[in-house]
Amino acid sequence: MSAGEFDAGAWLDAVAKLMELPIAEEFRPGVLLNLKITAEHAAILDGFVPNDHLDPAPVFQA
Amino acid sequence: MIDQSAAEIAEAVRSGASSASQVVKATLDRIAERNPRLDAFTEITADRAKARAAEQDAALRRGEALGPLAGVPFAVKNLFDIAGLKTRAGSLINRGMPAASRDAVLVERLEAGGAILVGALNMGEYAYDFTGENLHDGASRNPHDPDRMTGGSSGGSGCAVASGMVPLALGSDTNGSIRVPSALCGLFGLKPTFGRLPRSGTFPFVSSLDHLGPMARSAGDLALAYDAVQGPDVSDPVCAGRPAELVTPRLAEGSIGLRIARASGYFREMAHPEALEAVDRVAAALGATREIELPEARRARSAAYLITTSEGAALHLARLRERPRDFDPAVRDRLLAGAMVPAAWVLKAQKFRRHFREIVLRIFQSVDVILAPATPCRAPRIGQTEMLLAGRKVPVRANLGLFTQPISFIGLPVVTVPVWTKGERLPLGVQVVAAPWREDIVLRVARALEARGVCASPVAAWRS
Repeated sequence: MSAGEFDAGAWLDAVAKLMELPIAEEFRPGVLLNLKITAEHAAILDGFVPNDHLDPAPVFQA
Repeated sequence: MIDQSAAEIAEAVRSGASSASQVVKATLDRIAERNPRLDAFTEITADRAKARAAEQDAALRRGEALGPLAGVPFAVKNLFDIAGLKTRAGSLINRGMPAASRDAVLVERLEAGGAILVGALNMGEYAYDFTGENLHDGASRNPHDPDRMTGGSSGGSGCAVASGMVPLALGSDTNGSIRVPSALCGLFGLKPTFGRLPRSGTFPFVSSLDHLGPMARSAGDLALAYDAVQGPDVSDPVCAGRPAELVTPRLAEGSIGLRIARASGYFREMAHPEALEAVDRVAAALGATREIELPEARRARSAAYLITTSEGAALHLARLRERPRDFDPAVRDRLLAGAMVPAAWVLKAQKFRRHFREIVLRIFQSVDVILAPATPCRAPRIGQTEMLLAGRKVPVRANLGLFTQPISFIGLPVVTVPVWTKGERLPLGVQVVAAPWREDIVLRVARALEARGVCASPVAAWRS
């Protein structure tokens, strides 16, 4: 699934239930809007294909 | 007296021209007069401040030397721990937590330099905010026009300094929360390099991106405060082990010899004309004619957004499950969405952070300073939820930080400098950005702009 093909409504309904997130009916429009905005931001990153060897920014040091 | 700079107040107290007790009394009177209309302070530590002032006055009478910030009143965003108070972090929920047993490290360090804490400041709930509005404590109001936003999330910090209630405040900046209110309230605000200052004793938001820093009405005061709080602290694992690199002695070196460019592309496409005009005036004063593009800035903002929403949600997950109705709905709905972000998106954003850092570090081989707008526009009205950017209606709350997010994403040091247009009541801010660990450069440039009269931070006019 690329971020650009993300179905925010379906994701919200499935994941909120599995994660036991208390999304009351009146919260749903706001959460859905924010999930869509989040997916838009993720889609902007779709065109970035990281090198397998690129370390994520936070690298733990023991 | 209390409209003076922190440096002037400290000089007056050290020389005996004023006592610390006089300064604290005048400050508490000023807060009592102005805070009810502006909602900057959520708690006032009057007894503590008076006791601390009396100690300093007694030390001076004994002939002891006082610190560089002797008698300087300051206040902190209410996510900083203050011993004996609950660290509310702008929330209702945290008011049920035990009181802090110790001050935040930066509070301790400012007080070790002689400064005197006078209270805790209003902020957006859990720092997830660019407006300065708070459902539980009310909106902090812009002292230059109380119907306008301060910007956030360090909104109380912006308000307290711009209104002359204190000369100095501390804030935090995850995506722009020092720089946005500094811009909208007309202040100098420093967001140091990520990892420069310890966050120990502050309530977190996004550990990957959280910074602390000072806000003041002059570049000199910003440097004084910054110098007082530098140095490693092992209790924050993100804090670099670098020794203090004092800037105050170097401030007068100015901008001569520095290679300075305006940021083009993303940073000019989305701004209102007045925000670009502010950047152009600053660039002209510095003799900067070059433009430079920060490629991938739009992706940097998106990556910062993804990391913020998911890490913030993870921090608050138990509270979201147990007490969702005790959050500000605007914060809650974003955090609930953030709790459902796929891990692969977030890790990709963190990989992009590494990639973008490399791109920008290469740019800093040919330039020392990059100038960019701090916000796309002047302060919106309190309660305003949408604004026009590049012909599109967009939410105010998320987009005031459009230009600050890509910069803090890779931890670059920034001073936001205040710019005023003749005939306009509200200021704008310009970000002066340098390579990592070069706070000296951004503070020198801020000082040079102040000396040339291009940037200034007057106390807002007060109509009683």
